[in-house]
Amino acid sequence: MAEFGAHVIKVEPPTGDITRHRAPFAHDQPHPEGSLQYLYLNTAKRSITLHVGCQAGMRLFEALIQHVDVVISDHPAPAPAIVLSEHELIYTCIRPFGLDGPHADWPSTELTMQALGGVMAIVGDPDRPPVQLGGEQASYVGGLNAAVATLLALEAREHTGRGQVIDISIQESLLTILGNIPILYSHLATVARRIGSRHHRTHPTAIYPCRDGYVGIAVQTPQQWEALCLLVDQPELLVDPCFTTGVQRAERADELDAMLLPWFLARTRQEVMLACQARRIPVGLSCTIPELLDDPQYNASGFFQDIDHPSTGTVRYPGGAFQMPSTSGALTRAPLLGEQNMRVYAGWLGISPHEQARLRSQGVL
Amino acid sequence: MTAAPGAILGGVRVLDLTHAWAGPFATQLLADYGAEVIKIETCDRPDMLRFSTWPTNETRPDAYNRGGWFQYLGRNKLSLTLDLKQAQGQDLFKRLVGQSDVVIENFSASVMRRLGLDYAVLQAVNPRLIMISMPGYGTVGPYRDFVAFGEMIEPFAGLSELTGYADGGPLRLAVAYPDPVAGFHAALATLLALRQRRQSGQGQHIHIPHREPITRMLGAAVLDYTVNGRTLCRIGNRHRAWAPHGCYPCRGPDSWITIAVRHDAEWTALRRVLGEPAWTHDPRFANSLKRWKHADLLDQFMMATTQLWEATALAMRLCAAGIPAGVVQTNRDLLGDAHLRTRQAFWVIAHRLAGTHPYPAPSIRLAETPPGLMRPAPNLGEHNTDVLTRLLGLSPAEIQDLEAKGVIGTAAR
Repeated sequence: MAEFGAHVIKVEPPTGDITRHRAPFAHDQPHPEGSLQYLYLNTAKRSITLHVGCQAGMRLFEALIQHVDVVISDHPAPAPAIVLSEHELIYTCIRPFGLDGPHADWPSTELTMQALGGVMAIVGDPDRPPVQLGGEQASYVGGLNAAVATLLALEAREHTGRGQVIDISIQESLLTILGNIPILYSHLATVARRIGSRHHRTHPTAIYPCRDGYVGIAVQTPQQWEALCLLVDQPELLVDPCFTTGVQRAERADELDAMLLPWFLARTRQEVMLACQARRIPVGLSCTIPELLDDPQYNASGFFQDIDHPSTGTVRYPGGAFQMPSTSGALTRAPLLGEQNMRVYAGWLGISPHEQARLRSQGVL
Repeated sequence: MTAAPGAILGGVRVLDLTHAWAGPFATQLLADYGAEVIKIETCDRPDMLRFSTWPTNETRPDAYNRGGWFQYLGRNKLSLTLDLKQAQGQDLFKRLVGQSDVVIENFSASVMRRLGLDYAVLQAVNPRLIMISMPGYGTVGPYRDFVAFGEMIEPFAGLSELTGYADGGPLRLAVAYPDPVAGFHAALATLLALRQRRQSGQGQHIHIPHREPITRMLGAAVLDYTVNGRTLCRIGNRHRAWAPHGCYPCRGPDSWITIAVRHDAEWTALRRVLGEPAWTHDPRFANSLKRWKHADLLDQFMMATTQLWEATALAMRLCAAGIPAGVVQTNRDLLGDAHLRTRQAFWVIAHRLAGTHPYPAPSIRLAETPPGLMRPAPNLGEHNTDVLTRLLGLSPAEIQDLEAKGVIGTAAR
């Protein structure tokens, strides 16, 4: 939301948001201004400090929300009272299991959310334990849901003139990325389990080894299957009635891989990608992070942005997920802890620097 | 006072040219909130989703109206067939654009231009038009004409190199994870553009590349490289600071529990739940750092112990003691999950041909302005007459003529 022009003020406890204290740190030096997760997640935002857990802090919070449209929180506590008193306020609450229901207060982490949300059941090798998707995807998917929900509530407010409490469950957010997996059970009574890098209903849709690494391949349409058979010089597969449909090929994936893999293993992944793409077969490298930074497509589209921060100097960040012609698209660095205290507390609430110093010494700011 | 279900986007008309998962996912989100989503397909190439997940060897001629996945993503949408390769089809499309708010498409980058329906043309018809394009890789650059399917975008965007066992190759979700992620971004872009249009009076054209959002979701790992020069490797279910942290076998076939112990207090609580077995008092596990350093050994003891437990019973005990734990839930488990059921996370939808089944409800359910189930997924071309009569004022004779010329139809060819 900050990227697209919302004025996002991050309200942090006086010790800083929890992510400020999590590794990895810039140059591996633990410091509240050097957490890379924090720097990444908070570009284009402002920071104020506030200890909401005391009476004076809560009073300041209540004064602040007179000036805002939206509160986004992972904490349910102050929501109902605030929204009851502030009819136009939107209060988006992101919780692992949502605001109510029998598991609402269960403890959780990224890992346990991926398990309970049905993600891990379909990641991993069949003969090994289920495994998590890398990079904290459950949290990101919850965040995406919350962003869309907040925009919907802003749209609703245009019609109703009223705000509301938004109840986002990360577990339910994860259901949306499972696609047809729940449907496989409800329509076909098929329990979908982990199958390596493959797809349940079509093949070859997988990650294949090449001479120097891996490529992702997604052959699904009859045209793509035909093009692949011709490319790897196995036209007889095209007339083999065992391999006509994607479902048939998925059922005999081992057999098929034994015939197809030698072609891939004899080539570099760059050669494989270019040969396949030239024939409209969806194939791409399995990219490492250094490769992404050197990626000719990302460099041509200007995807990465250089951002300067006191802890890191100027370094590359992934840029916006998409560009809107109506906004600049340039990201600014994450704020220092309490960097905008003066501006917000003096500018919005008229609290003098002297009074702010007192509140700071009392641990309120 | 609560608004009627599906009311808040009631004034928004969307022409939906998307197929497969990413685009239809975005328009499902809008349709669930009442946008009038007109799904446009051709009889030659109906949405491939229509053929998915209904008995494997389905041979009935109308199988494309019964597919489970289409039933899921097609709810609340109208179906119009329109052959955009014919001049008459293009003309009708432009007339619909004149009365619509949003066009959304996920063709390859050059298709709309080849059809003579790129944004410049459509904007001339309707300056307020918002257009969302979902190309694989954007409009410039060496890969702009590459084919993109979500299943290969996941490794291409860098996620797979971070997913998998420490001693194994890159892995991926068994479905195309980048698709719903792109879909969320497309819905977000639509809502942002609608908001902006209220102020400016102008539409805009927004591109949502398929690959970029996934790379964006690797943020801290990218910075760890650009700042520290570190390339992260796969670590299975391990955590970079906590232990035990893993997925452990339980009693019964293919039954697993995940457990994450973040600090010493949780470790003490875990020990108690497990009944203080002797190994938990091993000095090598005495504090967080030691446990993390001896995680291999720790995991062996954990596995030997969890195997004696029934997964759900152990998860309940651990959670009650404040330790994050969760059973690895399959699709069957999710449909039976008591918590999800209490929260009405599934909608039961009846369709004349597909039968009555539970489907995931919208993951965003605003309490005061809720989404609604207005209609089940449409049969191919079900709303041809409705749309062409209501919006364009075509006569029955004109509609018959379009059918005869194959511009519209209700049967896949």
